Amino acid sequence: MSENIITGLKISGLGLLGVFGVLIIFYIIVILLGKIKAKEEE
Amino acid sequence: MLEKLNELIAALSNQNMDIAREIGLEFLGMLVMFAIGGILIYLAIKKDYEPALLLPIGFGAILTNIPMTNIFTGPDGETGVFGFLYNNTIANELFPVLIFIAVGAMIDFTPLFQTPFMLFFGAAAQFGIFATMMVALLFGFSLPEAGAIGVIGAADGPTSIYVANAFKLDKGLIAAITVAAYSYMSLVPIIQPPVIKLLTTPEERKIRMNFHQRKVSKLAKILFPILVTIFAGLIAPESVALVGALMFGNLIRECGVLNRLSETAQNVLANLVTLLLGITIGTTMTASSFLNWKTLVIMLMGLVAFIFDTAGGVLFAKFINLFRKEKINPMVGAAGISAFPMSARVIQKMAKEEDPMNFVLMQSVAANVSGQLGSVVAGSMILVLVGRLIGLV
Repeated sequence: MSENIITGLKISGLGLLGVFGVLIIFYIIVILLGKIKAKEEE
Repeated sequence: MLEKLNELIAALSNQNMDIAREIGLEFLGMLVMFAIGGILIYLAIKKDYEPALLLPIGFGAILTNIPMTNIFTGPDGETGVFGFLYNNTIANELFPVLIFIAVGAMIDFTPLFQTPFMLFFGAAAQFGIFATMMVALLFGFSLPEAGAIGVIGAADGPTSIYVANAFKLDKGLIAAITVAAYSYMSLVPIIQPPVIKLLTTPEERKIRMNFHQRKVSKLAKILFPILVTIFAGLIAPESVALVGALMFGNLIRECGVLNRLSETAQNVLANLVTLLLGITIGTTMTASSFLNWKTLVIMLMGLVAFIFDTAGGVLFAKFINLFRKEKINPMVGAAGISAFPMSARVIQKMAKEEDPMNFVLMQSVAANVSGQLGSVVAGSMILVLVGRLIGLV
């Protein structure tokens, strides 16, 4: 396997992990912000 | 044009076949680019495929290939009108960032607050980006080229342009990537259904999902873009221009005191930038830079990317269902791409075809807006990981 392919595999693995990692943080933010009660007039 | 014809006649009469062949090929290239420009205009007008982008791109392709014209490079070899526009709006990534402000102002994240779990489909459907990057590497593209081609799978035109530009790819490649990204985005209703049907059973497509409508606090919607920008910036500083612009647009929308600015971003800014972006990209499509095997492969890769994206989302939903009591309709996973709201509509239509009383629109919309976040994050990951390897960032 060429060096490029191995690097590509590493980037893909890290990239997907990174995307999931960042979106997990966004998920936590959404869950926490979702706990703020909406005012009646809203 | 006449000058070229005279050159051709002179070359033929002097039996200088090399020059004659060269001029002939140039002429043929021009005709092919006219045809490509014509096809893009046809698709825009007759088929309504992303007309705001494909029509200006098609016209730009015709414009730039008219012989003896100097729209990209001036007569003295210096920058022409469209060269100036390219250097000052696309090469410095101004337009993609401005479009992000407009897109941010258009997104309503409320469905996401109502079904937060859908965020994960916005991550899973980005699988296509990385899978396509691997396929592009197998085709012999360099790492930056493969990374930029993979980002077509973000189903997000501005991200594709932003990343391709950041990697300083050849203008012809950037044009091919842009055309592929926007063309396939408009083909979502054609590409996604067969892939979904192939990967799901009719029973799975009939799965009904509960949706609990609830009010979302205005404060939450204001804090969301600010917190997302801070965290994304801290994790991947390279992503801050993209995420920041998107979230700035969203903050303008949600703050409630900048309605005029929000409307301007959604309409005037989006329209103006789209108009100039399309024609400027089109004018980079010269026969010499566009007509090569790489362009053909990039167009093919675009299709591959959308297929992998769809498959990634559906298969992830099926995987999650192994552990969940309340099952998810796996089709919703396919809405995790950035093509908003087209993908969500496609999923709802397919769900209704299987069961007229099945409503998965809100969940699909939530997955779809998550896809917009996911695509920017995935594009940023490519930018960071590949960029660091090649010493760009």
